[in-house]
Amino acid sequence: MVRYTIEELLQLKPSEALTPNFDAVEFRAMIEKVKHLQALKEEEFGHFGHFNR
Amino acid sequence: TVLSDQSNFEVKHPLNTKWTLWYTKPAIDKSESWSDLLRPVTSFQTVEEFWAIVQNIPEPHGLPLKSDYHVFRNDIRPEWEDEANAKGGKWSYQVRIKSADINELWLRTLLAVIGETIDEDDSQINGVVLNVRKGGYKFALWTKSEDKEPLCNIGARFKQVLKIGDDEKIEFFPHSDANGKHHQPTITL
Ligand SMILES: [Zn+2]
Ligand SMILES: [Zn+2]
Repeated sequence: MVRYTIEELLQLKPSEALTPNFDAVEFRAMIEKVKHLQALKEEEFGHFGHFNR
Repeated sequence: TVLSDQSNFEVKHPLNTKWTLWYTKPAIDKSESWSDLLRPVTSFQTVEEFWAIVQNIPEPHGLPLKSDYHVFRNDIRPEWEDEANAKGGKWSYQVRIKSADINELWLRTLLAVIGETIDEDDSQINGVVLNVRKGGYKFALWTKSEDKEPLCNIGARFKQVLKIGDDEKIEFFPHSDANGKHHQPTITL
């Protein structure tokens, strides 16, 4: 079994960011969109709460 | 010689096995099914590929509620129905510390899993999961069996990686009981 300790893996961390093997820009954009939609939903519920008082 | 070979300057460090990163997207509207939400993001089999991925995805603190990250060995799906998981279970830790440390603890957990320093010689660990929920963050190590001895070794090392003191517990839940009404841990450490 190939093993690396946490310290060894941290030493192998590159100082400059590498290019990942997938479309990370698209992935981060999808997550930002979800966060935005969740925030809008929260706001809607907030308005409902306000309305029912 | 080594020096005359240019490609040696870019030598990569192979991991013990291939791993796949999966992401569960929170549902935004009701038409989205589980298979729309749970998707493989990418795979890696070297230390360098791992770092390139980690440097380019949000840390736990940057994920929306109801998100999960799953990192699973080879082609194992992060679901208890997968035959590799069916006879196993999970060590579960509900993080109660201040959120500033979550990113570091999750990274340490990932490094211990892909570096294989938390596992046994016969690879008991199938994967590792992060849940982001309203009540807090949850980390889980998924195992292929319910064998108490290797599980207790893994559990003890999991606690070291997470820097958990005697005041906090981790709990083992077998997947065989995942549908049960009284989902109780079978081991507590
Ligand atoms: Zn508004
Ligand atoms: Zn933040």
